[in-house]
Amino acid sequence: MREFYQWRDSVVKQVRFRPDRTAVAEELAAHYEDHVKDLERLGYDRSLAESRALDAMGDAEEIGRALDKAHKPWLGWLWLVSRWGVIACAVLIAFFCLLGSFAGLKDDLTPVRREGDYEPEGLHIVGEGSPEREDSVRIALGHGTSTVERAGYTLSVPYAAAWEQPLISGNTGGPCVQYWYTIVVAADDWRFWDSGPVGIRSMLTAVDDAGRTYDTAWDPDGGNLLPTLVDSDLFRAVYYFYTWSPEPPGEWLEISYPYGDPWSIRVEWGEVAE
Amino acid sequence: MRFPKLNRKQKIARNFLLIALALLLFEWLLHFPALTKEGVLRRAERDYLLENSALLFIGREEGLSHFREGTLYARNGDLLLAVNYDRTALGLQAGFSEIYDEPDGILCLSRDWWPLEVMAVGALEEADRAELEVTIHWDGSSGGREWDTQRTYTAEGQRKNEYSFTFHLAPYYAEADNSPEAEMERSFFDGGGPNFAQTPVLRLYDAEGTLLHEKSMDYIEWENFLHW
Repeated sequence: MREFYQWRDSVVKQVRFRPDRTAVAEELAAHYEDHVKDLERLGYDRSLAESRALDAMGDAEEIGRALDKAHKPWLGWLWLVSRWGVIACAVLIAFFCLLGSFAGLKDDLTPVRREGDYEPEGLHIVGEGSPEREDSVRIALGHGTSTVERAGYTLSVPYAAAWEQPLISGNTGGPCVQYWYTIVVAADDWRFWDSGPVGIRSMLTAVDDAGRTYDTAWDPDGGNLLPTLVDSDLFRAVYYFYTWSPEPPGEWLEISYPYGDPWSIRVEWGEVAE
Repeated sequence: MRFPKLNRKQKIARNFLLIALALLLFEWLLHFPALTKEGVLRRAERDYLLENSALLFIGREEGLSHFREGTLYARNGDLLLAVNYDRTALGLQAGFSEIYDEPDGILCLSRDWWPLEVMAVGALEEADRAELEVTIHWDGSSGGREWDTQRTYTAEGQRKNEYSFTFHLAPYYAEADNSPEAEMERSFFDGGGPNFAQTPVLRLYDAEGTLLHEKSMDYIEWENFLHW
């Protein structure tokens, strides 16, 4: 056995990539032991089997050179780096999972509505059970008559709605009507790394066919166009706005953005289908 | 089901693919940070549907900002754009940004608390000298005391680069002074500046001392909100 270890050591020291030497030595030892056992089964005694098996292993220099060729150092180091890289990434991912950091990514993967009713449960600015939602009836629907391309985004108004809510006037005590308006602006692009033109939430203006203007600057006397919900996935962001007025919807409402290359999209009001 | 045994090269390829996927996941977690400051600017200008903004300078050098790594200032026509960013392991992450619509292309922002520092940004390339005059007026009453006082502070601008001057307004009254004027001044310099009625005026002069431009403002915006 001592001769085998000497032979093995002179083979292994020719493998330049040190981390593999242990595995190579074990592989050689396993091959040698198997051959010794096979010879013993054939009737050879132990020392003769070991001697014959060692002779069959071949020249140590030649075997060493061949193994060194098969265990190239640069490939070996690349393998080690990649293995530790994977382990480090796995540890980091586990750490972030524990922190709950990936919860937000699920929202990115949840597709944003692209068609249909953007207020399926009623007026979106209030919760279920609130009188504004319970008492309001959608009386007009519309969508943008055009789309606009700016800064790589395709902007559209896929949904606009006018809601009518009967009220009792605080001044007169008699019946009156409040009108709520929802406008949804959508921005589509292929840049999954962009989070959408969030700046427009505070910059949009609107005007209707009666000449009434609305903007996102708060005015207690009215004319407010207030941003509410934002929903987005990797390729689309939708921004909900609302306003209110004692006046019913007219013929149209035009949304505008004044900065950069200014644009407008007109929404023409239509009746709600039965 | 047994997976085929991979050789070393195949294992290396598999590992690097896994690392790339993990890096993509981390990038996603950090909202895909930009690789350069130019990239940060492009990302921020798209927030406002702008294109082709010109980067003017970095307002706060990296590492010296109170809350963020740095702030980029850029120009797009009459608009000025200020963008915060942080340095992460995978790039520069854009933070809060703001656009300012200034018809003369010049913006004044107040910065540090004490002494009060104001920065003028924008179309300042032609100016050789700049002067900032701030008149604060305090009018009110509390606990039987009444105030109706004002004071004017003037500061000469220090040119930081082609597109900005900074001004340092220094307090006038001693700390031990309890006069209404001194109380007003302490409140102003202690951060209550944005709450005061102000009539700031920025004046730009050429090398001969000729007045090039005078900008009167209602108040000086506070830059620090960018860093919340």
